[in-house]
Amino acid sequence: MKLKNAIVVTLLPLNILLLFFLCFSSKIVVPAWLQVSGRMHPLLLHFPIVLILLYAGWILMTPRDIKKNTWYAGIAETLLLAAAFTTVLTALTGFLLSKEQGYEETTVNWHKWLGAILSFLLFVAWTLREKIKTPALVSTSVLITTVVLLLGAHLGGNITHGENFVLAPVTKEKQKELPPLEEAEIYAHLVEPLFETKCMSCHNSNKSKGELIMTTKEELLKGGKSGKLWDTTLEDGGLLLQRLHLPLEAKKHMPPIGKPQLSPVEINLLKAWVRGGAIMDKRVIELPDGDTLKMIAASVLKKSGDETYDFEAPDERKVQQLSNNNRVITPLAMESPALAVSFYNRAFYSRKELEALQPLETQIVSLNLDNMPVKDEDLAVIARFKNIRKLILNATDITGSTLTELNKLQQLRSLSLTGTQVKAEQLKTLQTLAQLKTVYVWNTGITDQQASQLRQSHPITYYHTGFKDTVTLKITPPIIENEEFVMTKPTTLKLKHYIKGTVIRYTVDGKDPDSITSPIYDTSLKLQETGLVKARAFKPGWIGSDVVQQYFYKTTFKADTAILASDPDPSYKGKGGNTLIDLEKSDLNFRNGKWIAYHGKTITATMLFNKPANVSSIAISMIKSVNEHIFPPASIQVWGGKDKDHLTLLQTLRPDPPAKDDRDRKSIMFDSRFATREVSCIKIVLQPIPNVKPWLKDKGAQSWLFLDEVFIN
Amino acid sequence: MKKEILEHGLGYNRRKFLSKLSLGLGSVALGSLLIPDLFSKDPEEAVMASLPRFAPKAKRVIYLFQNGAPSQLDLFDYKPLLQKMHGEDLPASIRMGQRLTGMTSGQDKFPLAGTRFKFGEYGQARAQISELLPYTAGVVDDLCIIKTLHTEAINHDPALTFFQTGAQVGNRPSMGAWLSYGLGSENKNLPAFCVLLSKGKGNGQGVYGKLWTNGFLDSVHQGVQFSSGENPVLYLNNPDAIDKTDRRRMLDKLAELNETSYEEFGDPEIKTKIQQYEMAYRMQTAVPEITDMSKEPESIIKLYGPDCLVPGTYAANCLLARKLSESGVRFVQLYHQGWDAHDNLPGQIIGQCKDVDQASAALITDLKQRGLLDETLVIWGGEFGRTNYCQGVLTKDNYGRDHHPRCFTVWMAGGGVKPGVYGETDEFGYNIASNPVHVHDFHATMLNLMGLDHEQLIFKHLGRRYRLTDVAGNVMKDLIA
Repeated sequence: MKLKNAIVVTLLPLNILLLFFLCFSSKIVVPAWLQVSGRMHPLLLHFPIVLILLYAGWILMTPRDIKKNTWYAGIAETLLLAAAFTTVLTALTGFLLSKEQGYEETTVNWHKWLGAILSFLLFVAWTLREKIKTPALVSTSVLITTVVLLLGAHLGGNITHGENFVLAPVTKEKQKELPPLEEAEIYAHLVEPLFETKCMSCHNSNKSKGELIMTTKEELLKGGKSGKLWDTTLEDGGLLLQRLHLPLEAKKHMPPIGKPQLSPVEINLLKAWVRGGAIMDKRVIELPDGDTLKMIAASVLKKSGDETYDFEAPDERKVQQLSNNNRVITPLAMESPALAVSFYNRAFYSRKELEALQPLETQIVSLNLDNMPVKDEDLAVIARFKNIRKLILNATDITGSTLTELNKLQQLRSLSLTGTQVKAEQLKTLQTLAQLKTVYVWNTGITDQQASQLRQSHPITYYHTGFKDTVTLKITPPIIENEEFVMTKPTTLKLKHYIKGTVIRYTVDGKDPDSITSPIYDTSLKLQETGLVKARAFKPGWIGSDVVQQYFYKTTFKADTAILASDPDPSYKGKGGNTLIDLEKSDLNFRNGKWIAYHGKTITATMLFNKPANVSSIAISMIKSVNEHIFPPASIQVWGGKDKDHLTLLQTLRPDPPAKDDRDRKSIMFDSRFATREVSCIKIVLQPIPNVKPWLKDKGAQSWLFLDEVFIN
Repeated sequence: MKKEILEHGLGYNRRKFLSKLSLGLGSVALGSLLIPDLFSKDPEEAVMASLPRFAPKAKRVIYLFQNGAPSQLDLFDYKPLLQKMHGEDLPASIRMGQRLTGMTSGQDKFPLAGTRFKFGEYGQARAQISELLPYTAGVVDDLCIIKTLHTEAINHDPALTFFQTGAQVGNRPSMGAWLSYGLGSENKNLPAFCVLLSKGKGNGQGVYGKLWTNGFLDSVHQGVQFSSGENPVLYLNNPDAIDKTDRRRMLDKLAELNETSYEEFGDPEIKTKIQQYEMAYRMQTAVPEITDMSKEPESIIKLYGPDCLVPGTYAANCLLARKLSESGVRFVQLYHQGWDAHDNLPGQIIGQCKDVDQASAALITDLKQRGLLDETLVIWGGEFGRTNYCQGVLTKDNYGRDHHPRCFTVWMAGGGVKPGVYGETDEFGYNIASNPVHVHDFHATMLNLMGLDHEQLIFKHLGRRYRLTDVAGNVMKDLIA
């Protein structure tokens, strides 16, 4: 009872304190420690709500026979007291909290006063509880109190959770449909919606704060009490931007503290708009490319290309069930109702597999049948997928005879028919398709002229005929497929070309093949002799290819020993003299240990036979690479005889010096032919040219000789 | 379902782990430390839905990587000032002490080298394109030429790795693997990520498997390298005396065995292996259809150039790339080696351009005429650019250029990019004057075009969440049509 008495005693002073606070509201500054108790408001407020509702329920809904009991009045009294006490506490803390910044002012004011009134009402009800006994009067006052409570509490809720918090999920606000970027106007669709949501609630014809009305263009241009809203001659752009950029706490900051603020994007948008001269009457696309406002617009507005679909999403299980390795069905994106279908694997495709898609016929917007054996009659099935936007029938078996079926696809935007048999006349029947932008008809036999005729009769559609075979290019040279170039017996020459219908012509006499006189290659050709094979490819409609060439080396006798008169350069020693007679023709990588080389020195090599041989020719294989100072020898002497002391000069060759423009590294061969004679010893002497050519950078330098094999026949 | 199997496997593993350690609760904690995802219940992280987040502009990518770094100054970024100042020293105010490679940092002079090649203006955007790329100039209205790409690495391997994986250290998934992870495969009969290699005659730099790695992603996302011979996929044919039914039976049996060992060990890589065998089986029919060039009309051979039928050439790879992409391969990665012209650049670049110009442009034309360009993103470019000054000896018409990461040119086409020229470099072609595009931005933009948010394409590995763009990258909205 002590507690009850204490509460009863404090009730009056607390309410007086509340009244005092309200009267001197503007004079009161809340110290930090009191702010803490102010912040208890959201906690305390639940007590009065519950207690008052309980009290009201107790008074209004208790059956009459229970009311006769003595304890009924006791409980009512306790409830009322508790309600009055918690209400005044809640109102006081609420007042302290209201002194903090950041709440919407009008609502807070209403909430504050309703809370105070509620507290006073309850205090009065407590004080007069003995006097008022008439049931009607009691009920009315309880009802009034409850209504005040509900109103106040509702406003409180709005302050913390925002307006329409409870119903927002079901009452979706109707958003103004903005046109796509291509059609949008700068003021009406970019700037005005922003003013509407963030400014016009205070600056309208009813409530023109600061004498500013923003609802019409004329009033907006007039400006308000402080003058015009913008002045593009000022560096900061004038009043509007100044106010937006003031710190949030500043008195003149707009929108005022507690109101919804502008997002950084919105501020940038207004900034760009004012800087650009506050254009009122242009469309966004009229702005130059790279204009800031245009770029912001591009991120704010949708593009007309962004398709929206108004049909229901498909049954997910159905999609999974119908999708497999060869018929892949995927939603365009997460949460998109639209489906894209692609068929793969020719062997899998049949009309039945297409018909199986029937449960998804509304949702398919893209169908890819590239390279499937689609037949003319299958188009009737495709025509049922009425929402198709993109249809790919490239390289299918259709002939175009049933193309009219596709007129049912009123949404069709793009149709690919490349590599099919369709004719221009058949495409004419597709003219009811109002959305059809592009038809791809490359590789169908439809000519550019037919395509432009089609376009004339149906101007919205572009018929893409693609690349035409009108250019003349040089064909690639044939490929020599032989891997072994040293022949111990007649060898088949293997040439090939990847392009069908190509004719290969060749020579073995060192001349470049031509397209008339040179023999045509066929696979029966066998090479017998050492020589240079040259080949070229020819095909009608193409320029003849470059020459491809390869030395083939016949070898009859293998020398048993080879001796070098002096050591080769230490970097290119090879396997000494043996390198020359191992019958291994090396590639052009002269560092591979299969070459021997001399720098500025004469090469003298002697080859010995255990058994005398009837020799008639000697082929020497070397490298020429002018840029690397590797030159052909100035002279080659071939000696032969019984042994190394009885040699006669069989032949002297004087190779042509290399031409100025022939500098690439390549294989060269010198074939020395002489009257057959029996020898047991052959000596070759290769003289280098004294120094490299004067047209080279280091003209004084000595030349290299590289040698890898000597073939004896 | 996949998740359940995974859980079962992991659960089994965990039991085994615990029973071996027999340390009670302590080892549970230890176990969860060692395998952080062990108790993770977040289904979204475990199985990422293979769907774009928003409607994609592009469904597939063909990346024509010019490995070795082509010289932007001789191809796209025309700087008359360099020709005027040919041989003069690069002003220190332009270089601003920025780092150089070890190959030229020792040079006492940095003589500016103007391009030896003529430039022309092409297309609606009046893009400057060198005489070396006549075919590219012919399709310029489809290209989005970005002159202001820049990267962080200055040497090939880190730069290449950075471009491919978003990090210079080679342990992250390649962008093709990320796309495969994020979007899955379109055609289940082919890998989602294919790699084709070719080599020009110019000074080359290596490419390695780490560039098309799946990193820490599941190994189904790894790039599949096609061989450059006549059989792009080796060992695809059944051996003699084994027919299709035998092969099927063998695979079924093998799958059973693998299942058994999966149940025992719970290693998810076993599952991957089963999947890969199955895909290889399906590839047995899908691949020969794609690599068969005999049905290509003659106009296609002329379009790509006659080299396109010679296996292993860049042109052949471009044609194959189109066929793969057309058949639903998500990411086709080409590398063409030979652009690293430190000396004798004019001579080398002529050959390189001959290799790639016609076929690159042909790919655009070909995709366009089939109605596929709008859903295929084609990208052409190297790992960095080349310097405006000469490396080695400068003569009137011969020069070399060193690596230059501070600005270089890349073009994109199709797949929802806006054609035109983007970004400007300064008049020396050394620094960026406006609209820089970092490699991370480039990745973010590419993912965006594919319908993916680069900030949401995430994989958690060793307790940290990874992205292709890691913690950087902005979508370049200006480039998106």
